[in-house]
Amino acid sequence: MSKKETFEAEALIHADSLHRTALRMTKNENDADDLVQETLMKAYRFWDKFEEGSNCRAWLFKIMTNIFINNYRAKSRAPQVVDLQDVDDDFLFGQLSALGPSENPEQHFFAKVFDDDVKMAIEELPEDFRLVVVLSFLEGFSYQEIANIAGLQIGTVKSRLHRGRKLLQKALWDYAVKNGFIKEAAK
Amino acid sequence: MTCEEALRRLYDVIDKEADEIDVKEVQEHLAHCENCMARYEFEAMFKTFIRDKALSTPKSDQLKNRILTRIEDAERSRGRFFKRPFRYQAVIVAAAAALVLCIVAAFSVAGYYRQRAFIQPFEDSHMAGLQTYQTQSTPVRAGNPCAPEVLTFIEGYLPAGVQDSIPGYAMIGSCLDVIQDVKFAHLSYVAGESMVSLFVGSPDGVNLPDFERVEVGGQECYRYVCKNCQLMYWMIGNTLIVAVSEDKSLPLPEIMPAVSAI
Ligand SMILES: [Zn+2]
Ligand SMILES: [Zn+2]
Repeated sequence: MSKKETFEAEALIHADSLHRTALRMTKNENDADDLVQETLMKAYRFWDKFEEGSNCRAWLFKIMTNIFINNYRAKSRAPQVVDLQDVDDDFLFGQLSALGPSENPEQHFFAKVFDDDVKMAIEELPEDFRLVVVLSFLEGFSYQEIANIAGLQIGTVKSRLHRGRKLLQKALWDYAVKNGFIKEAAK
Repeated sequence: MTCEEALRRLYDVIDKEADEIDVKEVQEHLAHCENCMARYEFEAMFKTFIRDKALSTPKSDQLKNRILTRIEDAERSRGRFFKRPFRYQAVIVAAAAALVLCIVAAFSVAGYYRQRAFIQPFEDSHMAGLQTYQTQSTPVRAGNPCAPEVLTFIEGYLPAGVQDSIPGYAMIGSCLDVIQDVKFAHLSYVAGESMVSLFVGSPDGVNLPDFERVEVGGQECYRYVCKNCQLMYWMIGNTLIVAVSEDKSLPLPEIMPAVSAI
């Protein structure tokens, strides 16, 4: 097989998955396209550096994350202050349980929220949290893989994922309340 | 296992990161504890829910094809010379050799190389700046003030002052460059679609070639047009100023007031 054929079979098949993450990170279709193209062209140039048998998908995501961090992320990066002190770990679960068991509130909640609302809630997460949430929830990478891809300690991955989860649950709850899908339970 | 212990392992288990023993113990606890079970089920459901909702429909055939085309283009342009049949290569090499011989014969070798040696680094630096400018993803704002360290260099070390813009020309950036082992302030101006780089520094140690001499407003300067650019240099006191532009039709002397004696 030629270099191009191997690349097509092993790397290019991940274009969808790269594009999905690129879209959540750049928040627009054009930048996502550019980011994926840049990633794959770079991967092709360095294809001889890729160790055969190792995880190609994780390697591609590492390249893409680096390009994203260097070229695409918000230019002025004020320190990201996220106050989660008032959100309990079981915030959403608690809210939904408080609605009473009769009508299966979780099912009701999950059925009401649209795809676009979930995508928007993900995009509204602060960048640092968004990256680990997307890599874990959408792409199914392990903590160790995410640590390698994003250049983080495994403990940082875990804490960001934990906080990202809470932020996402809080955002979706607020959204459901705002749209009247659910009447907020009295605390 | 207590409820507290079971919940501490919640996300590790959901994310399939917990070790086998932990998973087993958690399962045993969940079998007896409805509350924890409900929470575990909820978090697992939440994860699946997010994944299902955010998995967009693939659209990548188009994207893949575009990348394949780019790869083919890159391969083709790289392999172009070497993939020709051998006799073509020989012809090209012979022609190049003949051309070099002609150039060598036509010019005084020493004079030509001294001119090139002077032009090349300024031209390179200008072209690098031009390329950066043209490939910027966000447009560079014209009318930028000169960077403080560049201004300090020019004003402190050499008796010259700088204008951020003059009619028709606006500064887009500035930096300090080392050219022929001499430190220069590099000022970039845009004029319409074209760019001009001004290099301001000491002429000590720079080999100044004899270009065509022109007089602009009583100021003596030297101008040269090569294959890629036009270049002009002049002196203010003991300060050397070199102007380079890729646009050979730009009236280069217009840029002269941008740097003046103080
Ligand atoms: Zn329990
Ligand atoms: Zn420069």
